[in-house]
Amino acid sequence: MNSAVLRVDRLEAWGERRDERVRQEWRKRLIASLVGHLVVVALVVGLPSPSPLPMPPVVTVDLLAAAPRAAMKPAPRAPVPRRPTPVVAAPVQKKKVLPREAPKVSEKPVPAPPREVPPEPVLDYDAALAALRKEAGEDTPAPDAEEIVDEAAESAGRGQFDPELAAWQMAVDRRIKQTWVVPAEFRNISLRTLLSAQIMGDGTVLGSPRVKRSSGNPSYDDNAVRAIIQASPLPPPPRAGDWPIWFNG
Amino acid sequence: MQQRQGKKSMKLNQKIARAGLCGLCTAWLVGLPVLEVRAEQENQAIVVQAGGRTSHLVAVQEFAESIHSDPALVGDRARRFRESLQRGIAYTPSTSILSDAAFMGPLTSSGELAPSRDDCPEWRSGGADAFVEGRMRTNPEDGRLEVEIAVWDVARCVRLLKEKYSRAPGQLDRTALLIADDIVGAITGRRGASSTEIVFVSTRSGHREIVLMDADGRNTRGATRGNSVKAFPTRMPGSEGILYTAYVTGRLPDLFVTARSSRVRAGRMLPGLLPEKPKYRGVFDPKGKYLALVTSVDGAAELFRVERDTQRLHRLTHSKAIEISPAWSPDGKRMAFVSDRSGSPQIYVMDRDGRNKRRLTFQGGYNTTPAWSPDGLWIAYQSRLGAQFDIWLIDPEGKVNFPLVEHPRSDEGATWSPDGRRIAFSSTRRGRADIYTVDRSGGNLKRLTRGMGDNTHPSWSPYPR
Repeated sequence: MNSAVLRVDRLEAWGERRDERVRQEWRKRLIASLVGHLVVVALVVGLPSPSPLPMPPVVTVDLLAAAPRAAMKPAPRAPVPRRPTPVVAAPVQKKKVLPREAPKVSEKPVPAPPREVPPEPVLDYDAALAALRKEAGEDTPAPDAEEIVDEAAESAGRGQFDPELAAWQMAVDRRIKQTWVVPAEFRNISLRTLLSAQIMGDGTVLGSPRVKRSSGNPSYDDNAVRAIIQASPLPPPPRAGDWPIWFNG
Repeated sequence: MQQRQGKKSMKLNQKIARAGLCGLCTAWLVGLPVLEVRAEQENQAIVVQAGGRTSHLVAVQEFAESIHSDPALVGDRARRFRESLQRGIAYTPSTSILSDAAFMGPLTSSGELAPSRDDCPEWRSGGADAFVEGRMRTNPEDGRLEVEIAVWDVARCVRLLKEKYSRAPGQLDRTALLIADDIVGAITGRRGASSTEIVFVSTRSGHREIVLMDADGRNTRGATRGNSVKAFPTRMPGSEGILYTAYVTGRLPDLFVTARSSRVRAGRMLPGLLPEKPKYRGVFDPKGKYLALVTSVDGAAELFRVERDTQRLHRLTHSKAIEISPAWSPDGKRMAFVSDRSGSPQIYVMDRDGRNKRRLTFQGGYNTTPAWSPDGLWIAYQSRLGAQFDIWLIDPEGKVNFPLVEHPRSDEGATWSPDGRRIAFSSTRRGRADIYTVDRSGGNLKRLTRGMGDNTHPSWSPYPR
């Protein structure tokens, strides 16, 4: 009897211990499940929007951007630089594409078009752009302007117009222009490079800017990197951090 | 039993812990770049449009003379060397010289070419993009001029170039120009061409002779002398000799070589080749392996390719039209030429074996003298409009075609500088024909020859080997 009771007690005790282990296991599994869900949530929250390549929004910096809207003239379609072409160098003026089998010009060739006018600024934020188009009587945007908007602002979303930011970007543009060398052989062949510069709160550029999108011409890219370093310190930015900078030759 | 259960439980716990850790790591790894991108997205891109600066400002110090140099012997050699160096750097459109007034450091190098420096901010504040220091001496053993230079990028404060040169004495100016071209190469990524030469035909002596000059028009000197009429001079690859056509009375036109170096035999070129045929013109490919030859077959000029070593002939054109003016592509795989098979002279392109011929120019009724740019992107040619020619550029696919140099008087015979930054041509815009240069943008016109007969058929020399 005693032995039977003892056996039952042991079984009970074992059962209690087993139940305890099961409870512990379930607790751990619950924790693991929670961790797993947290991972999934982190991934979902962290995933980028479905756009192909997130690009920072672009604000083309120019005095026009700060001018009162009433003073803005209807902007002609700006020859906004296209994507960089992998060309080492090319003649830059009076470029004229002539169709094959073009009729012979009698005496002199058609005089070459005058040197290209420097690109007019394109306001890249919605309101100003819409106003410009409205004033210019355009229903549809120029293809080039559309391209730059698509490329730069598609996935990043556009922020509100920030006068302080625009003023700073204008000042940076003016400063870098003083140090950026673009030899004649690089002019008007649509070279573009995107750099990223780490700018401190006092405007100091930390280290060497990184080439995020090459123009295809190492010399052109290198000149842009040098220009930023030489322009340091830049005017103090609204906030310190990495700033993308496009160089349009 | 309990022990076994305990072990199983521990293993399970370990697995769960590992899985959780891996999950966290994955989330961190995946999330990090995402967060980074998001952080960058917060800042709107700045767009900088090109401003007015087209050249790098270079500060050139006067080089330190070795203390062992005899002052009476060297005189103001360092000053003269600096002037030539500055002239050579300024020759390239994309580099210019910082004036002495803007110097924020000493005008003379210390003589110590240190591996690092701490005065870059001062040079930067003076406006310099690059800085050149150096030292020079006459080697007491062989009397040769020895120069050592260092080129600094003052923006990054890194040394771009450190080089030693040893040249024969008496070549101060030439040595400076050679070094200047290397300095330009270190700063811009493409070597300069101030040390190269231009060969052309001149009637200054009363005959049509071959004449040489430096790329900036200085130091003109004759390369041939005689009673024959000379034409179509071209520098041979490596710049070792000049190949030209001579019309000797009573003989068929033939190819000759004149040379300053003993590495090239002067005299008739390939004398045993087609002795009964007139040889109107010869042009070597960039490697010097093949000669494009213009000769006559059944009364019409045709193009041949001659292997230099074996003298093996390969006929490239087979029409009854006139085919002349061969111009090699820089890689030597293609050739531009002129043919009147369409009824008027036009520019064509073909492979070096004569295949894949196609017409390139369709505008203008008289297009001749093609010259392929060193980067292979453009072919310069002359196009007749009325009674005069202009210099045009066309890409090798024939998609872009535009005038580079236009003038009521005739501009002819374009030739590219070996760095591709300039084009030389002859023009009658001042009456007599003279040699001019322009940048490849068409600007910065300069006259290199001044009167003294007609100066025509310029050919820019390649870089010396």
